[in-house]
Amino acid sequence: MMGQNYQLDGAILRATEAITLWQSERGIVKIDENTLAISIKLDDHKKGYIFHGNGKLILDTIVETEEGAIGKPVEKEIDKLFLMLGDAEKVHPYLKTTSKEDLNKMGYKDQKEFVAKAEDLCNRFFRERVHSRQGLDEGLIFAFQNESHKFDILVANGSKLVYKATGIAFVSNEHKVVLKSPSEVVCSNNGKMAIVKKACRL
Amino acid sequence: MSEELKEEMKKLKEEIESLKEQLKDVTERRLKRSRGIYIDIGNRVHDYVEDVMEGVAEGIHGELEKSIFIGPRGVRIFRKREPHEEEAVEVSFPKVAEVMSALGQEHRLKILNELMSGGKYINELQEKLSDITASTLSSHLKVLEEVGLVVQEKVRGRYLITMPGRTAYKMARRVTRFLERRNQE
Repeated sequence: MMGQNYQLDGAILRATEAITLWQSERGIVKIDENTLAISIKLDDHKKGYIFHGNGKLILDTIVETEEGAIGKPVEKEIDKLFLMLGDAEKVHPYLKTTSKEDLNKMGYKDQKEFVAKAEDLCNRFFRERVHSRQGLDEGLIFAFQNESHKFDILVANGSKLVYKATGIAFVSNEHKVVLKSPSEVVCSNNGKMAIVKKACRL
Repeated sequence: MSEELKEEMKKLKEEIESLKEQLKDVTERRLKRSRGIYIDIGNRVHDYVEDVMEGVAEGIHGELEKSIFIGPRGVRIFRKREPHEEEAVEVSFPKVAEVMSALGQEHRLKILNELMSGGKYINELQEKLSDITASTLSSHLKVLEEVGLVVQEKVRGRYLITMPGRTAYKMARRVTRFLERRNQE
């Protein structure tokens, strides 16, 4: 089962070099060489990939205010399957067909096993989400599996950024930033801010 | 003439007193007839209402003070503090010592002073603190970062002073200024 008209491509690929999938002033998503990939197609157009390998997510979820900075950077190793939707064409030149050895290195017996896991990831992701096809022409959506088998979602489009993970929600649009943590919600607009705290600990 | 007036006034006063007594008797008799309980509360009801109103007003004011702080640069809204949260505010002395130790170094104070005007890259800080080497500067930044007075952006690499860092720096300056004034006096 796949969501809407999305299909997984049959061919499993491998990154020939380290690839930066997304980068902005706020964050980076990159994968290492030999990361496995399978493309997600919508009406015969590549609209994303599912990757599995070693990678890194770095995100400066920091709010700069006139009273000081709030928040700290997120730095996560990506070693589980994750999904990327959006403009995937630029990634394709850095991918080539994989061999059984490459699959074995990542702990898969064969292609079937990898495809099954990728399908499972897609099904879980698309099950409760409605996606606009037009929305995927611009920007990128990342879904990283976290420890509690849920998704940490990163949506990036130019300077606009949304990150939602366990215990944190971060929304940024140029100088407007909202950071929600378990202890407080910080809203900042050009350095002017409002903080709603659960308890004052200063 | 004045003696007559005085006599007249005395009589009038006596008459008023007697009328008051009569009125009191009439009131008491009426109340007894209506089987009510007569309690002379005088102004106490008014006082009681005022007390209650003052209490409520103080309560509202207190809650607002707890939940909203209007600073020079914005509004902070805090939820009501619960007793267990008050306990959580208590900090251990070793932790306090750690923060104070991070503050207690001239160059680290200079770094904080530079960061008060906005985020800076390490080369910008190096220019301002040219009397120390790059490695010393890095180690000072690490100390400040470890206690949470400074945070470094991972992507751009800028160093930013945190909200506690700003508060600590201001506090250190205020205490020093206060002591200097005291010593001058």
